[in-house]
Amino acid sequence: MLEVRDVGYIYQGKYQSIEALKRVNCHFAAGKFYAVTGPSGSGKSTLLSLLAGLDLPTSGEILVEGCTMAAMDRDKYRREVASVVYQSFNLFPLLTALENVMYPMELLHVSKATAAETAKRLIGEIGLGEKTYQQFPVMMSGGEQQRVSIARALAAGGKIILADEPTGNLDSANEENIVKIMKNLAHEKGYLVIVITHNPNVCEQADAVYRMRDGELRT
Amino acid sequence: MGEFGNSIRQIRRTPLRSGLFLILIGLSAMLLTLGVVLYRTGEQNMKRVEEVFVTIGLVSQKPDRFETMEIWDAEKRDMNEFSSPVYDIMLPPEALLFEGADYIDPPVHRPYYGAYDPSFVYPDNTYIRLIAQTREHYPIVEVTPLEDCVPDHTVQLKILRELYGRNGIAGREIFGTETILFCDHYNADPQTLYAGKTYVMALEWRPSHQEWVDTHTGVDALAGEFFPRSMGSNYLISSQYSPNGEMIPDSMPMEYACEEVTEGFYDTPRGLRWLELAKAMDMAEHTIPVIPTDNTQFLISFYNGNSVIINGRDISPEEYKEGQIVCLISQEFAKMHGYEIGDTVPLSLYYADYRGSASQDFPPDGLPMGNPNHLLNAQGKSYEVFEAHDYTVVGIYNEINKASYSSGYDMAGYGVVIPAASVKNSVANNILDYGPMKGYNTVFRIPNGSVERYLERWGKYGVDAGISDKLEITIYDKGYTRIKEGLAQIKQVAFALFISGLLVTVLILLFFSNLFIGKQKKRTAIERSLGMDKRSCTVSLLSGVMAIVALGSTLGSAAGYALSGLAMGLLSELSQWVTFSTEYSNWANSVGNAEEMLPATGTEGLLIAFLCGSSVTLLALGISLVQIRSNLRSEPLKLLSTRDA
Amino acid sequence: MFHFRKVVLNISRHWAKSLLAVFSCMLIVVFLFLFFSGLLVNLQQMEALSEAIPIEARISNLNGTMSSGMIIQERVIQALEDSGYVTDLQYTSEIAAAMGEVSGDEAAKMERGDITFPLGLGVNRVEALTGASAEGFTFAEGAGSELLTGTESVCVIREQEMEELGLAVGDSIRVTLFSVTYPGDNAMKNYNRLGVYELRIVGSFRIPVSEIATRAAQMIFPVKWQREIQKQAGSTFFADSARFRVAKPLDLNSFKAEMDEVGLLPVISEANSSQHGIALTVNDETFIKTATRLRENITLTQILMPVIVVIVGFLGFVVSYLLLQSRRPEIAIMRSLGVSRRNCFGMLLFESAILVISGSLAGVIVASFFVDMDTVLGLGVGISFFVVYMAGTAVALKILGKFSVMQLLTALD
Repeated sequence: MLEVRDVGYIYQGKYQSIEALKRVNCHFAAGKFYAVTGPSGSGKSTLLSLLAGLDLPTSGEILVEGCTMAAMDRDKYRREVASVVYQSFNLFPLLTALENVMYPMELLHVSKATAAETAKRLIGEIGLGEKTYQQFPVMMSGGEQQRVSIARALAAGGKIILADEPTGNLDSANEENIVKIMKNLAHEKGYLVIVITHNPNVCEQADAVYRMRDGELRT
Repeated sequence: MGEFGNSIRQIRRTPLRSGLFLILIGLSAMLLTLGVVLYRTGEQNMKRVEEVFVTIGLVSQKPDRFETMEIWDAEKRDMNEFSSPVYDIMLPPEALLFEGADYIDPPVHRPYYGAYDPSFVYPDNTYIRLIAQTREHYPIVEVTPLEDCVPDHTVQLKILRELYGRNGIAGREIFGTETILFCDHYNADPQTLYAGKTYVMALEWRPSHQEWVDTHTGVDALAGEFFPRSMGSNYLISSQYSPNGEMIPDSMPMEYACEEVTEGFYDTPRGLRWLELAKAMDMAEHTIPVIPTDNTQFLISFYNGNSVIINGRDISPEEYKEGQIVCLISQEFAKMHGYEIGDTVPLSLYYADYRGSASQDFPPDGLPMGNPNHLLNAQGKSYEVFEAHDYTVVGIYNEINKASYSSGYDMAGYGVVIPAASVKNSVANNILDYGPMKGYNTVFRIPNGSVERYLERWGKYGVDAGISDKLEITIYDKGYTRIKEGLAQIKQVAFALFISGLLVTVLILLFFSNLFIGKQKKRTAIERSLGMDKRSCTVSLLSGVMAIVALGSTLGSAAGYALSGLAMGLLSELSQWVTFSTEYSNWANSVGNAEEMLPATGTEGLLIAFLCGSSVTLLALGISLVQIRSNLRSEPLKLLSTRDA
Repeated sequence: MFHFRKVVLNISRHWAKSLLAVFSCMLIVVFLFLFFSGLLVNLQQMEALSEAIPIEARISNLNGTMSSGMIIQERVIQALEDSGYVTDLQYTSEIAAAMGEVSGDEAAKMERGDITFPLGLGVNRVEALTGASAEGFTFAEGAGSELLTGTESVCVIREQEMEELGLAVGDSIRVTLFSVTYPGDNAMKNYNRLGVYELRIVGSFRIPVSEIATRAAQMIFPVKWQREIQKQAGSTFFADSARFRVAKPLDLNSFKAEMDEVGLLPVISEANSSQHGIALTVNDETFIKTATRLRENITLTQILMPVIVVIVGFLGFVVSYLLLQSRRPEIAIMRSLGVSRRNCFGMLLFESAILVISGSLAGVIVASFFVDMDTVLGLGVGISFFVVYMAGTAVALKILGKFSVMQLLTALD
């Protein structure tokens, strides 16, 4: 579903440029749960961002269902195909949980009623109760926030979930829960789930694990 | 010190934000400085505008009625009717002291003074001789008729002696002949004059009777004839008043200005009065009018710009107040007597006239002998000098556009203006004449813009006091009332602008503290978690903030100062070629106007900049402290566990 | 619709920042509005000065001592009549009138000055007779003061003379007229017989006792008629007094330049007395002193205007920049959720627009408490500020948009 070909990426800083990725090649298939791991600064988050279409590789290319990302409307890609889950959740602080989940659907011009209905279903599916609907992110625990952000990722209906350390800020109980949700999404609903993680427990549960070091990928 | 270094370091690490805040503070200080400079300049300008305007009121008592008098006209052989105003009572200026009048200078019924000095002379040229009321026109002579006659028509009299005439008391000729034509013109029943008898007469000239011209060859109307002064113009009768406006009865009324001279006549009281009159008339010829006032602008001729000071300066408000011995003199008087600025003029004041206007009694063209009609006091004596000083000339004025006929509001010929307060002695025994309040002798001053209010209150009071129909009040304000609202609006807008500028500054500072210091919550939390006490935290944060604020406000106010200086310079430069031309202006020669017209100078610019800069700094300090305190109140741990979004 | 709802939601959820923005805009608009109002009221006041403080001027002799009884050349009068800077021109011309037909020896005698004349005055309008007010005049039915402005052979006679001579309004009289000159350049008059004229009496006048200033004119004619008969008689016309108001006080300098060209001189108080009306005095002290100050206010405001506008514009920019800067993470999330850059900025721009419009409206309303609202100015300031602020916002967004969503979002982790 996603193919990374010879991808390199250079951060153009003010004083120096950093080669974050060096000729990375890999392949991700639908219905699988991948883990990407590696030490800090190894380029895993960069890879994820590129997979999310937040930027284009400096060299090489990323193919989505055989089409190069460079030729795609990447905003549309993020709206309709790939969703990102962050370690820090990145929910809109001033939107309620429900509104946060509705947001991607509203971007797709889904009617408000339908969006609300879907959002409520999704929130239910990830194991949160009705009382969370009207809560603002600050009022929720980290685990709850992360579930809302996963619900938001699912809301658009895209089949790719990209997660950047989704369990990094969570306790072990919550962590387990999130991993379980991710795994289910891949195996039962046919999502492509790519998780960046330091956590060996998460790696253990993955269908495949990519290890990164100094911008290079080793399987 | 470490706190300070760290603080600065951290500020330097966010150069864009810090830079923007520096600019923000700088701009607000600059805006404030410029705003205050603009406001102050505008304020000063408006103050100077206010000073241009003086609101004065002229008080005039209206006659209660007119009385018709019949006077015989020998030429027409019929009565002539004249009407003259009658005042039942003369209202004092105190009648205008009512509550809410708000006078700056309350109304005062001012006299003009007669000042005598033998050195005072009037010009003597043909033209003036021809038309003026010179001594040829008012002789006091001893005459005898050529034959017995009743002078109900033109008769001839032979001059025996002049008591007062063209050549003074010792003179001889009047109009080049030893005989004069005479008719007791205004007397329906003249007494018979006998040849061989001597009569002393106070005469006045008038054109010849047409009948005489028609029946005599080589005679025309201008040859003229004389009649004895009578009625109101009879000099022999005193018109002395007491200070409260009551006439002092003449000790020896001499109704008829013609009397037989017998042996020892001049030793009798009546004879002595004739001699005294001749002396008084001689004094009057060397008398100039002195106009006391409290403000040059109270003299209408100055007020409306017909008279301007062309040399020297005006009498200052202090001099007026303190009654300094200084004066303004007319250009004609200065020329005639060679007076220059700094010279002294000997003014021996010997009478005060509360009835006439100096300019009506001493016509503006500088003609002599306009003089009041009555020169003797109730005892039949000339008035004694009651106040004498050598007044220093501080200014010379010129009156342009004199009216051909004096309205009473012009400057008198040879008129000398003195501070009213410089006359310290009582005039109680020297009131030569007294009349009702008139615009030229009773003036008050009220604040600019209060005309409507004054008239409203006066209207109410006047009716209550029953004097509203007796007094006519005319207020002049040079158009102030018409621009009053506009000026108030300008001031209001300027003030509102100043306040809104101030608010913008405060807002920016609030903004600054909220966005800048509020953002440092986490930093404070970290510092606190590292064991720093609250005070040190405050210092740490404040030092960095204040560095920005101090630098910003200094730079901003300095820039504001520089800019305002530049603007002021530009303004002066522009004003040199955009100002109104004073060519043809009635006040063009008036001294002191050049500097008066200069634009307001920005000498206080530096002070304003300093004050604005320091207020911004202080304000920032205060607001920052409040914000920091609120930062410190947050729980460090809670802060640290949440994210800095 | 979605964007609009989101914008409204944003504004309400960010209420503190929104309020701050609205308040800043309001204050800035108030400031700008008051600044321009200040300029405007000064300018309006300047215009109003012309009406409030009229500038009067008159012809005098060189030393300025005379205002009537002068010799003013017809050329000067014509120039004043033609000038666009002169209004309310009032001028008179002396003319002596003797009742009935005077001829031969008698006239010669009169011309020698052996007989004093009653004074006649040619006037271009009633007001030219100093001290006279319209109430003092009584005109025949159907006739009015406008007759004196025309060229008909009519006259108005003082009541006293009407009585003495047994005349009535509506009568026609025959008079011998004499032009008046001052050959000796002093008050001595010379009379030159013009001819015998038939005049219709169209009114009478009375001068109140208190108006001693009025010249003792006994007979008044339309001066235009007088000019014509003098022309026909080959006699040179002179006016004896002329005064007027300056039509456009703000163009005082142009007026004075024109008077300079006419050849009028400023008064020289040291000059000898003369009957020649060749000087001009303009009573403009109050006007100049007031107008100069107002003009100074205006000039200073104008000098500072660009600086202040730039500062305020920049403040608007900085304020919007700083407000938007804190919205960066939000932008990043929106971008990561697939909101296009254009939509993202469009929303923020729209949000700013709503805030700045509300702020400007509030500003205009607040400012209207201090000054009379001038619609054009209100709109002008509002729209200009809107444009400047939005430009600032756009620039701020442009700068803010330069960040890498990727870097920002991962940096948050």
